[in-house]
Amino acid sequence: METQTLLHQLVKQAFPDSIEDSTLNNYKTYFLRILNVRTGIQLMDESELQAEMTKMTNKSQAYRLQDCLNRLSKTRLRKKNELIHFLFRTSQLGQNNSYTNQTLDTLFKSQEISQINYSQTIPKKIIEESPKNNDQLNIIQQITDKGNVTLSITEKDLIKDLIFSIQGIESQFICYDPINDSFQVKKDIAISSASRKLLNVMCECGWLFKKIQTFTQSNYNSLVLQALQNSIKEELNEYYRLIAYFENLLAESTLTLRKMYMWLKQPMHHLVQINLVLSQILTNVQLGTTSSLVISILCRYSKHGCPQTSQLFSRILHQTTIPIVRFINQWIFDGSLSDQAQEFFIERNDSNKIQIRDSGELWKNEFKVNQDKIPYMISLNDSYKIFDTGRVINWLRKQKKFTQFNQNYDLITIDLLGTEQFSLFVDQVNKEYNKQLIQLIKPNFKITLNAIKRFLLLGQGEFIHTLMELLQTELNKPAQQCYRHTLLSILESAFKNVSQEVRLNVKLLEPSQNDTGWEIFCLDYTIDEPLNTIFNQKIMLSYYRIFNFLWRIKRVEFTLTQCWKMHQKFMAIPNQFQTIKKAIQLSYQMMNEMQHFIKNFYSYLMLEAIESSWKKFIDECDKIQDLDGLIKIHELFISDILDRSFLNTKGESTQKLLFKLFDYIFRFKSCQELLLSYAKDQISQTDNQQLQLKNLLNKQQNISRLNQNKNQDIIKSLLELRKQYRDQMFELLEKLKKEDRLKFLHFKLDFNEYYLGIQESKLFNQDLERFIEKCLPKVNEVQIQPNRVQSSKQLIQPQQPQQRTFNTNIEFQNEVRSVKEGLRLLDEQRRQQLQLKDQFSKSPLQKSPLLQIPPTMTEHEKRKNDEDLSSSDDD
Amino acid sequence: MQQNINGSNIKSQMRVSSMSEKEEAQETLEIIQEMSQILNCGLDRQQLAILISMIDNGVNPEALSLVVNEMKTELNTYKKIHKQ
Repeated sequence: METQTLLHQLVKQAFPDSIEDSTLNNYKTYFLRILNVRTGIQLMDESELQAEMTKMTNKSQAYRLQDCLNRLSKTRLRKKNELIHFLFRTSQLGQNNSYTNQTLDTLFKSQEISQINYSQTIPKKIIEESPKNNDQLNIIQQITDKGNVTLSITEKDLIKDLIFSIQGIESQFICYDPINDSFQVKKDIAISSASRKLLNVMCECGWLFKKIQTFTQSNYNSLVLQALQNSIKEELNEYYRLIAYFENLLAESTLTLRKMYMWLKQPMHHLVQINLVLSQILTNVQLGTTSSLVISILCRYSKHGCPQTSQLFSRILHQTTIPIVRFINQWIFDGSLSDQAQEFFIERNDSNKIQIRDSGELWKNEFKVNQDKIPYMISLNDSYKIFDTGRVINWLRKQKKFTQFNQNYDLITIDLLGTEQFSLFVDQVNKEYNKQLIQLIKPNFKITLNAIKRFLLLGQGEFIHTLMELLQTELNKPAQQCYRHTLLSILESAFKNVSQEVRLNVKLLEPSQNDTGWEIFCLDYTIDEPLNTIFNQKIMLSYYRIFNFLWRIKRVEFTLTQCWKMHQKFMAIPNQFQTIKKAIQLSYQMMNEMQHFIKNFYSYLMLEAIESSWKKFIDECDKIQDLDGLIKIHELFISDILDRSFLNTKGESTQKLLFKLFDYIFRFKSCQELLLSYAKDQISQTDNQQLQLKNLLNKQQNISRLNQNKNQDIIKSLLELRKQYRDQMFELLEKLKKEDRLKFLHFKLDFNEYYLGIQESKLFNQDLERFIEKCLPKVNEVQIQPNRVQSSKQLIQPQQPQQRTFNTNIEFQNEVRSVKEGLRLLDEQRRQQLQLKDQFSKSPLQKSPLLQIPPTMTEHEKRKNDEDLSSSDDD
Repeated sequence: MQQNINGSNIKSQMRVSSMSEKEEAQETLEIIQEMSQILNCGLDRQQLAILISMIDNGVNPEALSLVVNEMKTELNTYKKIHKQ
């Protein structure tokens, strides 16, 4: 602004250098204000100039002046008239020399009056008079001003100014007071206090208007806010119309302050309300919540008690929700999001969050609902349904099977929002699309599911069996040597027995140390595109786990059948080898025990674990209506299976037990193989023996001794194995007892309480030994007892030669002693019992086939009783 | 220095591009000076120059005269204050 710089220069130059900058600035602003006052000027014309000059006393000077003026008119100077005017005025003012503000105001007023067609002469009069009667004039003015507006300022002027100020523009008399943050009438102007109040009140309007205008003119990214701005602008149009009306009336001179006040009442009310709303919105601006906040606030206000306000806000609301409705329409019918300012409550998830990029994860995580942004009128359910619809459309699009069904569905309109019809409508659309989706998935899903059951869950028994037979040689190798292609070729040869074409694959898991092929083998089923969402990676992993487990059990079963086959060979051994026969009998028993366990456990798995969950799942499958539900029940199905087959974290300990049991079974098999080879050796050797009788007498003895040693070793190892196996069984049964639903399994595994009995007898035996130890005196003899009391159930008493090596362990000796004494005691008790029986003809004691000792416990008590009785009898 | 600047200001504002115009400008300035002397405005050369440029820029002369008056007043009061 050149003017400003020039003014600055002027001021600086005029004032002495010692002046402070602040005061300088103050002066400058003051002068600038004066300069900015819009006053109309009427330049002095020729006649005035002449009049002026004739007043001058010094004629010579007058001539000079005239001369100058002539010369000036010849020059090419622009704005000569202004210059001349300026000079004259300055001189006048200089002559006056009455330096008060009042003068300024009077000058202003005079200017004002000059606008209304007063001649220029009057101000001069006032000016001439004022230096003398300044104070008096003031007083007179003040007195006359009260009640008489026309003296100083007319109403019209005020109204004109007011019209400006209600648009938020400063004018002559009404200026913006930054301290009070309001438009106020200048305090120096003399108007009645009543009018002043009125004016101030109406100036509020202007203030509100200004605020609202700043809002409408600021730039917003979000569409909803833009819509809001537009709607408010439309409301303000009414206001402008009112102002135009005022101006009309003013031109007709029929407008008074009071009239204006009444007219302005209603708009003011509206402005106040709008301002309220805006202040609520603007103070709460956080990114993203704004649009929903706006709509919620508008929604609440549209239910305002005052009908005008509610109408106002429902109009605004109507406009403002247009973007949101558009978003919803797009999303529901098209599945697309074009939301730049992120106002919609459905947003695309960060691609960083989706780590596994398979369809299942994408289905769940690609889009999400941001609950903060749901507008007030849409309920959570509805918003979720909307979200689901769009998701389904996107999914169908990906599968390229999306057929847009453009039926009679109208787009959602704003009136629909927040009503019941809206929820119904959304529901309908959702159902339609979901139906499409389900139709797409269902046939494939059923097929795949059946196939998985047959193969991964070992449904197709004969196939699995043949597969195992074919694979066993390969899988027995250590894990590093198992190659996928060999396994795959074997798998394909197994397919020949299966009539259908299947999509099976071999998957090799990561081998750890000491793994054979058995541990890393896994069947895999290839899943196609649409079903990827349901059978995603996580689910397939669990399927693999179940398969692994079942495969292991199958392997154990397989091993046991191999043992049985071996047994059949044992039948061929002639009866002379009693020791071997005993070993064979022992191993046969054990094999039966193990087979019983495995068979029952496997059947439990297949029936209770898998089949029952399967039935539940299939039943629910038919009722399913959307993809989410399908995924859920499928996951439920799998978790159920995992739960019942001890594969989840809860059943970890049980799992470990089971694995140990399996381990023992494998060891048993290897033991059996040893036995078989030994038997074979024996047979061949005896044949040899008969040929070489005479020559190798000594050797024979040694050999027979060695053989017998070997036999003993085998039997020992078998017994050890059995003991360990039984220990584990006890533990397993303990565990099974604790859970309700495993009761049936427990019953099956121990239906005749065999194991229970063993356990109890074990405990009893321990107790008995301790008892015996306490009671008996120490015996000096040391006898070699091959068996303990525990093995009284044993049917085999192998004839131990005297060569058995024993420890010179003191404990062992003591035990042997105590056992022998115990046996003697037992015999005594039995004899006594028999005597008592004869005397009192009591019922015969029940001797369970397996247990002999427990009755003696009661026998012991009975003996006491009997003693009492007998003592009483004696008495 | 300042005078030169002021002079050049006026020259630029009057769009002087030749020597005669320069002289013309000078002459105009002199006339105005004389007039202000006669009328007893109490403005010196520099101030006049600035004021002329302001008016040329379109400032209201009435207001400007008031400004000048006010300035004089303030100056007087300031001087009085600072003398004390």
